[in-house]
This record gives sequence, C-alpha cells and structure tokens, in this order.
Amino acid sequence: MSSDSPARKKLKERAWTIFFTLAITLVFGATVSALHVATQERVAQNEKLFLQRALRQAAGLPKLPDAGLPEWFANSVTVDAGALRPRYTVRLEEDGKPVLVVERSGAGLWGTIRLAVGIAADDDGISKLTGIAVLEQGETPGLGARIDEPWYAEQMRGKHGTLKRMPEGTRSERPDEIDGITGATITAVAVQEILNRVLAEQDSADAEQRRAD
Amino acid sequence: MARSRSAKIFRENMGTNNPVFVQVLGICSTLAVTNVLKNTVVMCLGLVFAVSMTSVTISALRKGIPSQVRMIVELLVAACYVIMIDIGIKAYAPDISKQLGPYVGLIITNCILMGRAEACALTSPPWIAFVDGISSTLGYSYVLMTIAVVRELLGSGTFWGISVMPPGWVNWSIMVMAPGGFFMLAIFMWIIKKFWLIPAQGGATNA
Repeated sequence: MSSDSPARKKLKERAWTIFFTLAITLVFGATVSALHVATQERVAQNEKLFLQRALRQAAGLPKLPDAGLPEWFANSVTVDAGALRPRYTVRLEEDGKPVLVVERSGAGLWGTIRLAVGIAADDDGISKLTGIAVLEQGETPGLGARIDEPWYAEQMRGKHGTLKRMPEGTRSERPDEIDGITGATITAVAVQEILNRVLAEQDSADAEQRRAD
Repeated sequence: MARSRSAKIFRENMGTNNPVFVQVLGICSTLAVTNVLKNTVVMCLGLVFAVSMTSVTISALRKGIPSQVRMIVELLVAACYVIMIDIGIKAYAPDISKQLGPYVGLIITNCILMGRAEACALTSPPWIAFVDGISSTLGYSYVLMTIAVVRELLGSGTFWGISVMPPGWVNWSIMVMAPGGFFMLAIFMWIIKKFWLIPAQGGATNA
C-alpha cells in the first residue's frame, strides 16, 4: 500500500466508491424486489377482497366473512366491461330490483376521493342510494378521513334528490339531507358533490327510460 | 464497558437527550400523526424498526462506506427498510395500510433516521448503534403516544377509536388539526423542562 503513488491511491478510492455504491444498490434493490414479488399475490388478493367488501357495503348488504366473498362476487355481481368507469350490477339475495354500483371520484382536501356508490329504484321507480363505500381517500385522519366511519356511510341509505348537508349529528330523516363532518367541510362537500352527480345522472337515465317506454 | 455505555445511551435518549423534546427532531411526524392514537402506534413501531435496523446496517458497513457517498448510502439503506415495512403492512394488515395512506412512506423523511446514522452508527459498533437506534425511537414513541392520547381524547372524544367521553361532550376540532399538535408539543416540552430537565440540571435558570 505504501508503494502506491497518490494518483494511484485516488484511483483506487474512486473505484471502491463506485463498486461499493453499485454493490449496495444491487443487494438492497434485490431484497426489496424479492419481497415485493413474494407478497404480490397476497396484496392483489387483499385488493380484490377490499373491492368485494366495498361492493357489498355500497349495495346495502350486511358484512360477509372474507372466505365467502369470492363466491358471492362470482354468483351475484356482473361487471359492465363496456362502461368508461367501472359499473357493477349486484343481484340481491331476496327478490329485489338489482342494485347498480358505480365508481366515482372527486377532489378532496388532500387528494382524490374515490367512492363506490350503490343506487337502486324503489317500488315507485325513484332511484335511491343503497349505500356508499370509500375506495380511496387521503384526507386528514380524525377529520376528513372520518368519511370512512360506518355511521357516515350508513346514513346515505334511502337518500335521493339533490342532497343538502346538515351539521354533523343532525341525522335528518328527510330524504335529501345528509350529515356533514365538523372540521372537514371540504371533504364532506366533495362526497356530497359525487353523490349528487350520481343521483342526477341516474335521474336523467330513468327519465330517458320512461320516455322510451 | 460496552454495557455501561449502552445503558448510558439508553438513559440519555429516553430523557436528557430525547430526540423530540431536547433535540427537537422528527417534529413533522409529531404534528402529523398524533391526532389518532392507532396511527401513532403504527408510525412509532415502524420508526423503531427502521431506525434500529438502519443503524445496525450502517454500523456494520461503516468501515467500507466511502465518505463521499455516505449520506446517500444511509438514505438507500433506510429507504429499503421503510419499503419493507410498507410491503409487510400492505400484505398482512391491509386495513391499517389503507388508513395510514402515505404515512409509512414518510418514515424516510424522519430526521431521527439520518440523525442517528450520522451521529452514532457511523462511528460505533453495531450493538451500540442498535441500542442508540432503539432507545432514541422509544424515546420518540412515548412522547408521541402521550400527545396522541390527549389529542384524540379532546379532539375526537375517543381512546383507540372507542368513545369514552361523557354524552354531550363537544369535540375540540382544533386538537385534531395541525395547530393542536403544536400546542400539545409545546405544553409537553414546557412541563418536561420546567419540572424535570431543569431541576435535574441544577435549576440554574430563570425559567
């Protein structure tokens, strides 16, 4: 080593830097990739179950153990492959009209809010919400993220018309009033707008259907 | 010798050299995650794992790491451990993963990570680096969890998501928002300094 000239020593140092950087990148990169590949299937499976749970919630159906979900999905749900955005038709266990579940998104406070919205016509032909499920959101935990809480989704059942937001805790019985979330107005407005869009689209589709009949 | 040194490091990181209320590191996450206790606990567990593993790894490699690229190497190692945590949670606790959103990935931006790697792991043997990593993050964790309990209780009326406040309780929404984090952290620091740190150091101050 002592015989090395300064220039040679510098060259060696540089070579070591490059080798070390490459080696450590390879080792850690490979480890993370391997872990990703090893859990890929599980993660994809989790995603599928998540969507199936969300569809049940949006259709207003009670919770089902995870093991039963794939079979229920295969038997009762039709995916409309031709639609621009995902649309699902959920057949109910009892003889009811099928529920249409659509995916819609809107801008929340921090990012996109994506919802699964269930809608079905009642006996008088009025399209009403059957439920909603949050598929994606990045709102403030403890505030906007509370749209994920069960009470928030459950209050939507049976609502129709142009929805109005009431203060949190109102729990209005009127068909067009929903509770907002205190401290998360922007998030609550985003959800309200998504739902109103879905309801308006369905109403005009219903009207068209009636004209055609 | 090594044993007494590690014990000393452990004590210091928990108290007189605590990363949060003495070094004032990792404040971004202190403010961001402490409004819900559950998220705080997952964040703390993630950080304990990420920092202790990063410190051990950097310490084991310390003689080979070229000084010009040491920070990028620290970052690479830390990022890999953080991604491992993220993948693990996604695969085995998908619900928590959905709730946490981007928080797990943000462990990488926690100053304690690079701080411990630079300050201790680069110059100490793996065991010392491990004790330093785990104690500084445990020191961080108890401060965050204390703040989170108070913020969630006052801000949402819940403890670990379970409603515990009497009926008629009005939530202090400000506690859930970022200012609530600042207030709580400042109050926490003030209490700790006034009643513990300053008296322990002889009380030579006008505070």
